[in-house]
Amino acid sequence: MSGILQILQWIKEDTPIHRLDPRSKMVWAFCVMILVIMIWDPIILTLLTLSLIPFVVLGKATSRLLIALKSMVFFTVVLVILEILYYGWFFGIIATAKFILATSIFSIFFLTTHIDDFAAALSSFGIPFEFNFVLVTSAKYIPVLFWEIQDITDAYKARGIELEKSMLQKIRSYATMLVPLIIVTTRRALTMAEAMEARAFGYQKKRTTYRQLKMHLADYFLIAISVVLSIGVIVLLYV
Amino acid sequence: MPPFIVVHDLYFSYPNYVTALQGVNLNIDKGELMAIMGENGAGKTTLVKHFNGLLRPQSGSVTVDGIDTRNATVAELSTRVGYVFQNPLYQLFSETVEKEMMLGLSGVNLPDSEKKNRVDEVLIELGVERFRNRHPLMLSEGERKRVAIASVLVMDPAVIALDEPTLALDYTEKRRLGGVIERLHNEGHTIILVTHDVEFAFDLSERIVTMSRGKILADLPKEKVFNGEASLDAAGLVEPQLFQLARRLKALDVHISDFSVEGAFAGVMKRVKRSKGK
Repeated sequence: MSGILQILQWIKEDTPIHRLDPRSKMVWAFCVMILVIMIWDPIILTLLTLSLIPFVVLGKATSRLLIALKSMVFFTVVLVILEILYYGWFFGIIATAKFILATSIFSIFFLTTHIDDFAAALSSFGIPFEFNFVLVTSAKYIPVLFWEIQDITDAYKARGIELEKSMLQKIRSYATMLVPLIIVTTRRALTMAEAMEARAFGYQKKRTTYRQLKMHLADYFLIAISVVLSIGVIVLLYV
Repeated sequence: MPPFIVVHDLYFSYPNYVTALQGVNLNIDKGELMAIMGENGAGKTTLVKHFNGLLRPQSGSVTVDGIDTRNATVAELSTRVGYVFQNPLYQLFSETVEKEMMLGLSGVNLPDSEKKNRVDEVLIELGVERFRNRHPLMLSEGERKRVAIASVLVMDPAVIALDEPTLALDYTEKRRLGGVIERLHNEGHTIILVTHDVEFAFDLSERIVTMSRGKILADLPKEKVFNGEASLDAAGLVEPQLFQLARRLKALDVHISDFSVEGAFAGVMKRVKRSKGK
């Protein structure tokens, strides 16, 4: 669980990758994602994997990416076994590799893009601010939610109830623990709504932003390379 | 008799955080009423969470009632050390106050009639008997706090640790809580208050431990803590108002030895009588 939390510790860093416009990174991630989904060729997939390395290294995201991937080891192992049983060795391993790649691209994007920048990018694509606000706020509150779950579990255990008993007992315990969690979260949501209204949320339809997104040369370069290369690969393979 | 809780050279750090406890040594005897004080992040809560096994020593040891906490479950320790959390909302799980009382007891091996007696006693003791069939959420902050304490008390622990008990309580509720704590102490419970409410801690406790950055700064009888023997600045504390007043009055040749309102009043009156006599 703490692995996932690591990813959500939005870190503002000053690396070439963080400095890229979130929109160009979105285009890049989208293109690579499409390729990962469409391609089954092990050589091109290997090249794709290699192409991610500069992003990870320049973006100083290596250790956090590894933590993120490590938190998925169990799930991945299950996936490998199922896929091999179902598709056989070759496709099983490739499919799993594709899964890990897709997860990595997703992680790299969010490890090198602050959630506020992501929201700004969505806004510039014309997605309503209210929607972005909900998205950003819920993402930002995930760590808080984890701490609260920890506190509630502690409080429950401190009452002398063994959590490590049978499966049924465990499920029942978690159901009980949901009660305070829902109460606390609902209360916070209500307080937050009031606080936002007190600060004139929604007073004006048209919003201005403090930080303006600006595309630089590197951004145009990244977009051009991503689009041209992915179209090229697809054309070569399928036409 | 050996101390009930023995903390020996305790170190603890949270993942990705600075070390929360750095070599803490502390003995707590049965029947004590003590306060652990210090600024936010000093390590008070981290220390107390070691007493019932919610946290385990990374190095050093914590022994409760002769049991090394590393070899016991939280459930086992919870019958010895009850822990009342800062936010009562986190620790109330049931739809009525009565069911809340039974939650912890369900795992205890006792005849039902005995359990019922215990619940009745505790509810009366904490003055929440009339809320027996109410939903804990429908109560006031102070009432909820007392229900949370009651839910811990039914387990009949020798030690009750209260984390920031005065938080969000109004003055009346605070006084009432003080009364409850004093009564529990008189009945023989060991009480550990984790607080930065100096007035509350000074009124109630006998011994005060101050902490800062994971270390114990002072461990003294309460008068000495505020009499200049412990550095309050380092622990992020301010002395109680009576001490501030006493310091100013000293310049006017008024000496206060008993730090209560009556004691201060007596000190002032003595000085007044003396000057009238001149």
